Amino acid sequence: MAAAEHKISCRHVWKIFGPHPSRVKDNLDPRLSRDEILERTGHLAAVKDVSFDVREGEIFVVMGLSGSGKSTLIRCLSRLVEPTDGHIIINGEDVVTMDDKQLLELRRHKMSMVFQHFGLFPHRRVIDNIAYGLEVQGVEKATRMKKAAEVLELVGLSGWERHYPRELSGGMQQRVGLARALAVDPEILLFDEPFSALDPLIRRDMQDELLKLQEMLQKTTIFITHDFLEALKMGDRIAIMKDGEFVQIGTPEEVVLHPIDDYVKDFTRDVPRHKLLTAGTIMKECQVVVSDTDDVSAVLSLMRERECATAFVNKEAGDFLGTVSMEDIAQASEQGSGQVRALVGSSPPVLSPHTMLDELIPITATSDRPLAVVDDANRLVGAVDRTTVMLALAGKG
Amino acid sequence: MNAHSPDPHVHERRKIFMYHVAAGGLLLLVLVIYRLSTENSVFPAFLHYALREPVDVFADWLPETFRFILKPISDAIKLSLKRLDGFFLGLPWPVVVGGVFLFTQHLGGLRLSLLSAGSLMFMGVIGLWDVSLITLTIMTLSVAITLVIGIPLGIWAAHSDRVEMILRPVLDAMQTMPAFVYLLPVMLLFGIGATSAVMATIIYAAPPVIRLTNLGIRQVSPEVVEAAKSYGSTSLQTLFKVQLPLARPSIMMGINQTVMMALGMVIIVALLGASGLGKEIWYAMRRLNIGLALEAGLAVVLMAIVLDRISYALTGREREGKARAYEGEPPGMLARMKKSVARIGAFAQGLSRAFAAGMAVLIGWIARPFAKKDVTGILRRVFTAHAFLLGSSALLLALLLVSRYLVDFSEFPAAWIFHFAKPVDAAATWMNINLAFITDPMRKSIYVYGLGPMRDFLIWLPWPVLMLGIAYLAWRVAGWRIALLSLFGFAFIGVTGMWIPTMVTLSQVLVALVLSVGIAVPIGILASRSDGFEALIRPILDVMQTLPAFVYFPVVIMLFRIGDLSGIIATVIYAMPPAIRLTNLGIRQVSAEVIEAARSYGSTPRQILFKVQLPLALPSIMMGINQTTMMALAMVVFAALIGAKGLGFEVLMSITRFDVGAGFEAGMSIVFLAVIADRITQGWAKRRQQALGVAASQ
Ligand SMILES: Nc1ncnc2c1ncn2[C@@H]1O[C@H](COP(=O)(O)OP(=O)(O)OP(=O)(O)O)[C@@H](O)[C@H]1O
Ligand SMILES: [Mg+2]
Repeated sequence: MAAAEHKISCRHVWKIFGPHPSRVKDNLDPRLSRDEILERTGHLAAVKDVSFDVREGEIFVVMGLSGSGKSTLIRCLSRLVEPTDGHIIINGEDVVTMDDKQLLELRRHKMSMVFQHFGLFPHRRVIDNIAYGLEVQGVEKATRMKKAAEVLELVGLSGWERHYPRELSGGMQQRVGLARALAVDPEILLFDEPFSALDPLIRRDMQDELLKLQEMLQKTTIFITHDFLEALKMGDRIAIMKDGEFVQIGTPEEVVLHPIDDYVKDFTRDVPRHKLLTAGTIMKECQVVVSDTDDVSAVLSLMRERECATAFVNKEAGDFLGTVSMEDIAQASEQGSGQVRALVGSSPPVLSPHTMLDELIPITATSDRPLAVVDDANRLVGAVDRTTVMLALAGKG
Repeated sequence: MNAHSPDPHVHERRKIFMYHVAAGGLLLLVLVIYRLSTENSVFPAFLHYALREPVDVFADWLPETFRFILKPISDAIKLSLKRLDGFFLGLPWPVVVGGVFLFTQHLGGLRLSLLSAGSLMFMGVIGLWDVSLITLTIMTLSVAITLVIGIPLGIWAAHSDRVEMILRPVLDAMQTMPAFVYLLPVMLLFGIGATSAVMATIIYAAPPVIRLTNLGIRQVSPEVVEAAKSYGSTSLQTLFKVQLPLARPSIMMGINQTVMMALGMVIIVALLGASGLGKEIWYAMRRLNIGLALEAGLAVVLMAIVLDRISYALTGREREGKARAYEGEPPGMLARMKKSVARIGAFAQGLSRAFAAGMAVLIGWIARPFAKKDVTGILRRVFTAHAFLLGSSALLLALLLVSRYLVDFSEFPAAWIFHFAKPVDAAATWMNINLAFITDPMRKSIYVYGLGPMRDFLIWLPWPVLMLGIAYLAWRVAGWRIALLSLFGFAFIGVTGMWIPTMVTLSQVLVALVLSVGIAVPIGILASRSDGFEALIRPILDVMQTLPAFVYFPVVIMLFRIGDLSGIIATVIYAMPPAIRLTNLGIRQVSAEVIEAARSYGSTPRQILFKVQLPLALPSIMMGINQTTMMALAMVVFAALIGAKGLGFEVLMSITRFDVGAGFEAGMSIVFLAVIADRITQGWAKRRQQALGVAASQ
């Protein structure tokens, strides 16, 4: 099932803190909220029945406020925190049932983690920090130093090998953290708020750089953050976590456009929507789509019926030709019958679904007709007009 | 505030005051009734029970029964001591001095090596070469065993909360115990001799290294440990690659404290029949041979300073605080000297490099017919990397050979020995006569106005009044548990017939306490108000705190002769430093803002001191008083060595007579006094601390 096609699959993962976690879990009404559980049992459900899948090469972001259980969840994946219940399937194997030896193998070769406060070893030089993962695997010194030097170059820190972490700035230290994670060539990267301790400008640089690296390396990544904008920027998909539970999982656009509840909506409020939304996400369905061989009068009556001022015309083969306005059609039909093809102007303005909202604003503002949105294969996928843009900007899309 | 509803604070105060009045009245009543009904105020004889008898029976049974494990331990320790002694004493002295010089040079640079080798030479010059080495071997063996046991124990405690929970109260209790407490059980198990000395030292010196290893590992940032785990380190890898290296400074600090405590045992273990500097001091003092005692005492002082510096050097770059106090850039002359010395150092370095390279070439040449590859290159790299080690070993080896075949260096040259015992004795006599105009009035006034009346009063005080009074005090400041404990403790003292010695000891401790606090607190205040004065006394205090208690004895006897008073004065000197330090610290810690506020209302400096700084520093001062009290109690047995009577004397007698039962009674009495005093003074400090919402400095 899911396990085969997904790199990571979590099913009903629980983590309860307290003296008798499994007993509490067994007698628990799963509908209770975290506060109620705490009040009734004195136990804290840090992670509460969380299920999700991560595809190979995907960046999966977990976003939530402080204390929502993100760190606990990500630590359950490598069992740095022992999950109370549930299954964590990685490469088809359940991490929860692994013995100590398998677990060491998993940690050594499959996944590496980057920490919020870097978690660097203060007594080791930069190069030895990076080589640590290889060192505990028992890789020979010359080999691991060579590999460490390579990844150091990759994160742009060549020349700093012999320094100690405390001699580096925060951003540089986290590069070392990243290099240390990459050095073991893991299949999965885990990031626990890696950029939260950095100041905003450096944070942006690091985000961009990580995205660039990711394009190159295509690692399966779980990325934790409490910054919604960071989540939108980094994530292929985002899970929003609250009080130990996932309240919504979706692509950034889905989450912004269709927040599932007020909690999620609260985050979306501050999102600069024109930087996030695209023609593809806000476009409307075209009401009147006709073929270029259709008769003008038939098209006119269709438009009247649907109360639509613009018709979208496709070629017979299916690719998009252009638009016709109601006025032109009405004029033409007074003069007699004929195909609409004649009415369509040459090279009409079209939009790509990837066009950002902020580029749409000037284009739609100068045009009183809806604009066709056409995909890469030149097929009509939808339409955007001035109102759509305004509504999307206002958050009503 | 509403005038009709009484202020709860006032109400509370009134209640407490009523308690005090009631308790005072009750005690007074008991006093009067008791005084009227009987002459004797001491714990009544018909309540006595000779606890020593069953203890003696037990003491006979125990070692016999466990002989099968005690004997091998004892033999192993004896044998190792013999071997070590044989080895060190067999080494020609230049090799020892040279070895120490090179080792310390490598560790901490020239200043340390000059100090260390110089001290060693000094011990030779005053004719204590063999004795000092014997003390060093006992110390080395004890410390080595302590570390081998203590560090793993600390690691275990760091990894298991349960182990820590069990260990912590044990270590806490051990650290309040005076050193001699371990003598009796150890003596009981291993008899008189070097084994007991080593065992007692191990037990006494173990707590700091266990505690600080545990603490050091627990202080490693959890994220760093987690990072290590997340990369698939096994627990052992995490321990050795991450936790231990990061806990190193703390562990080293523990080792330093352990070494210093082991040194503090030097004289005590002499009571168990171990030879060495301690025995030298003790015998010299018994024979009133002040000069000799002073010589051996100086050797101990030097050993303490050197060992302290060496173990700090071992902590490497991370060390700070204490060590820094001794250092500082040398001015003009010294700087020039340092430069020329550095040149010599560079020359020596170059020489050993060249030597290493030469060796490499030589061995490479010799090995050529046998090896397929040319090994010179590899050897050269290895040898130059360890040029210092190689050069030093070669040098020492050469010295050894020279001494074996050319010149006999096995004994420290007799011609160099210079005793200053004679002039010191002469000086002592002179001082005794000519400084009498100072020391006599001092002695008399302390005796007439302090010790005498205090002792008479305590003995005069009916036992129920004293017991209940202390129990009431304990209850008010430290809770009913401690009150019960003190009732029990004094009952034990009474029942075992130790009432009078206890009162004698108590009077000594109280007088010593009053004197040390009376001197220390003003000095501390002064130090807090003048940076210059603080800078002046800080190094002195630093050195004093590393010195074992007994090194003051020779000087004190020189001035005040053998007797109760010398005991008190030595105690005062020994116990003062923490009170000075904590008073100074407590006052300096008062926040600048508070003082500024006081100043802004027009307070004079005097008003600021008495109305703001001292009250806020009170918890710290009280912690100082607590430490002073504990140190004074720890001195009780030492003071007996220079003629003080009381419990210490009883313990001492029982040890020299191998009388376990009597020793148990007297020793436990001191332990009870120590625990009760500790809890009461600490409870008092903590209450003030809470009331003020400030932290006491440690
Ligand atoms: N070892 C533990 N024992 C008990 N409770 C814990 C433990 N670790 C975490 N918790 C609790 O679990 C809850 C979730 O903590 P977690 O660290 O996973 O939150 P988070 O989402 O990572 O928050 P942050 O953004 O502050 O890092 C918190 O209430 C925390 O107090
Ligand atoms: Mg977290």
